[in-house]
Amino acid sequence: MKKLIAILAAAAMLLSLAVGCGQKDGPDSGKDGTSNDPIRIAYVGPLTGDNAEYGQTMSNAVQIAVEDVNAAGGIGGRTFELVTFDDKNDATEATTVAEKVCSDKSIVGVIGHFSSGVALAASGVYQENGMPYIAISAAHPDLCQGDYIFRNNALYDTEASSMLQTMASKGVSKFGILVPNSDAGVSVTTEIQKCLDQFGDKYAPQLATIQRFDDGTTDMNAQIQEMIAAGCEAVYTNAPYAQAVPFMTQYRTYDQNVQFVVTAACFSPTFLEAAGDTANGCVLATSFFYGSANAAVKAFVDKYVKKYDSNPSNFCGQSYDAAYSFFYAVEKAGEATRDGIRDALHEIEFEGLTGMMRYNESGECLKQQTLVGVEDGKWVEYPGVLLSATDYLNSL
Amino acid sequence: MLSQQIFNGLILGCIYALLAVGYSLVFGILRLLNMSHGAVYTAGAFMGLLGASYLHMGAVPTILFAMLLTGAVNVCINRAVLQPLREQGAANITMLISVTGVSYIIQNTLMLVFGSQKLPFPKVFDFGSFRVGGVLVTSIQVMIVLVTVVLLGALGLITKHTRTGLAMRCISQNPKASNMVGIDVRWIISFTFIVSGICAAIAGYMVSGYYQLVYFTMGTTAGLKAFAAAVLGGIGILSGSVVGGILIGLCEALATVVFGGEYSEATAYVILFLVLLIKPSGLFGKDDVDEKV
Repeated sequence: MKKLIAILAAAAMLLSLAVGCGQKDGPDSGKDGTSNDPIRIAYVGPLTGDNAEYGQTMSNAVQIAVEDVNAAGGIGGRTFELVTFDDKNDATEATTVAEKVCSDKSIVGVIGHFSSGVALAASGVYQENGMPYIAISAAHPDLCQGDYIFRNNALYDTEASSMLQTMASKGVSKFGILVPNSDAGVSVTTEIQKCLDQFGDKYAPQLATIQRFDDGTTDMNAQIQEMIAAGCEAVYTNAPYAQAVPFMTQYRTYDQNVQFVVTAACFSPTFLEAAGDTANGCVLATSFFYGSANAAVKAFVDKYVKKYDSNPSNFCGQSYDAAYSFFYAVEKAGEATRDGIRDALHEIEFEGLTGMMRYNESGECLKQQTLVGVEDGKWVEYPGVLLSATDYLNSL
Repeated sequence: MLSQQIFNGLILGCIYALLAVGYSLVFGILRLLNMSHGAVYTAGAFMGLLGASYLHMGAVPTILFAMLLTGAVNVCINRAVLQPLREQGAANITMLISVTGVSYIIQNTLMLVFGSQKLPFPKVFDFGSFRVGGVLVTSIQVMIVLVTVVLLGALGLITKHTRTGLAMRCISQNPKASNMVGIDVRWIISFTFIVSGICAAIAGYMVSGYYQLVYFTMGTTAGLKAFAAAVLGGIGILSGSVVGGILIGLCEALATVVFGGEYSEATAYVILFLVLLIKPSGLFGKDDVDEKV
C-alpha cells in the first residue's frame, strides 16, 4: 500500500514537471528562421497569481494581433506565432523566464511584464542578450535604459500630470493621495511633487496628505481617517482594484461626497462589479478606451468581446499596438532578426489603437491620455479634458 | 478622529481574535502550531462566496453552509494527515511541516477551482450606519462585534462547563491518561478541529463581507497576524488570544496614525518579536515555555 502511494506520488510529481514545462518549451527548430517558419514573438506576464487577470488579458490582446496579421497574409509572406510564458509578476521568476526566452533563437521579440519592478529586473536580461523588448504597463521612469528596451505605456510623469489636471478640472481645493509602499507608489509620489513644483502658485488644488499602504492590505480605515482629518474633497489612488475597491467602499461609509480619481489599473469589468454603486462618479486617465468611436478600436473591441466575452482594458490596447510595432518593424527591416527589429522599431510610425505609435530615441512611445469615468455602472469618455503634460504646463 | 481610529482598530482586532482562537484551540490540545489555519480561513471565505454568489443563499444559510464545509475540511486535515502521523509517533516538527504543506494544497486547490483573480463578495448585513459620539458605526461592524462576543462566549462555555470541554482540558494535560480513563481522544481531537474550522469559516465570511473581496492568498498575512495575536495572549489560552487579537488590531490602527500606513503591516510582527524576546509565554501564559512552541 505504501509503495503504491509512493509510486503515485512520484508519478504526480513527474506529471507536474511535464505540465510545468509543456507550454514553455517551444521547438528550437529553425534556428535563424528559415523563410517558411512563422516568426515567433514571446509574451511574458503574470498568467497565474495575484495579477493573473491583467496578464491574461494582455496575452489575449497580443494573440488577437497575431491572428489579425496572419489573416492579412502575414508580413512579406511570413506568418507570426505567439509563445506565452508565466512570470507570476515576480522579479526572480521573471529573470529566469527572460533567460529562457533569450536562449530560444527562434524568438525575435518580447512583449509584457506587468509591474515596474518585474519589468526592470527582466529588461536587464533582454538588454544583455540583445533581445528587443516592449513594455506595455510598467511606468517606472528608469525602464528604457538600454537600446533594446522599448515602452508603449504612459510614464508616471504623464499619470501625475493627468491626475493633477483632473483635480483642477473638478475644482477641488484639497486632495489626498493613497499609494502603495512600493516602487510604483514612491515614483508616482515623486512625479506628483515634481509637477506641483513646476506648476507653482498658478495651480489651485492643494495636496493635503499622502497616505501609504503595504501590498496585501485591505483595511484602509486608518488611512481614510487621516485623509478625512486633512479635509480632502477628492482622493487619488494608483492602487490596483484589489486595494482600490476596499478603499473606496470604506471611504464612502464616512464621506458620501468625496470624489475618486483612480488609474488605468482599475479600468476593468471586475472593478465595476466589485465596487458596485461606489464606482459611480470615479474617473481615470487612459490611453485607450473601448467605447471610442475610432473604427480600428471598434473592430478590435468587437473581436475581443466575441472571443473572450469581456471588454478589453487599456493594457490590451497597448499590448495590441506593441505586437503591431514588431510586425511593422519586421516589414521595415526586411528580415526577422533581433538586431534588425531593434533598429527598425525606431523608424516605424503608424496609427495604433492607443494613438500615434512612434518610439523616440530612448525607446519611449509617449501617450496622450483621455479621461473616462463611471456613470450608472458604465464607463463613459470625457474627451478634451486632458492635455499633454507640456501643453498643460504652458496653458497655466 | 482618534476615537474613530480606535474603534476601527477594535473591529480589526475582533477579526484577528476570531482567527487566533483557532490557533489556540488546536495548540491547547495538541501542542501543535496549526499553520494551515490561514488557508482554512481562506477556504471558509470561498465557501461563503460559493453559498452567497453561486448558490444564491441568504446570509444565515450561507454561514451555516460555510461552517459545515470548512469544519469538514479541518477534520479531513486531521484525519488524513495529522492522525496517521500522531499514531506513528512523529515528531512535532514533522507535523508542523506537514500542515504548512497542507496550507499550500488548500490555497492552490482554491486557485484552480475559483481562479487566481480577486473576486467580488456580496455585501452582508448592510442595514446602514449610525453615529455614537462622533464615531461612525456600520451594521457589519456591529455584526462582527456581536458574532465575536457570542462565539467566544460559547467557546468559553464549551471548554469550561461541558463534559466535552472537560475532556479537551484533560487531553491537553495528558492524552495518554485521558485515554485510560475512557475519554475518546480521537473524537475530542476531531471535535477541536471542527470548532477551529467553524471559527475560521465565520472569520472568513465576516472579513469577506466587510472588505467585499476574496482571493486565494488572503489567508497568508491574516493567518500570520492571528498567529502573532495568539502568541501575544499566550498560545493555548482562549481568553489570551482574544486580548492578543484586539491589542494587535488597535496597535495596527494607531501605528498608521503615528508612523503612517507603510508601517502598520509591520506592527504585528514587531509585537511578535518583542513577545518572544521579553515574555515568550505571552501575556496570560504560564512560564513553562520549554514545553510550548
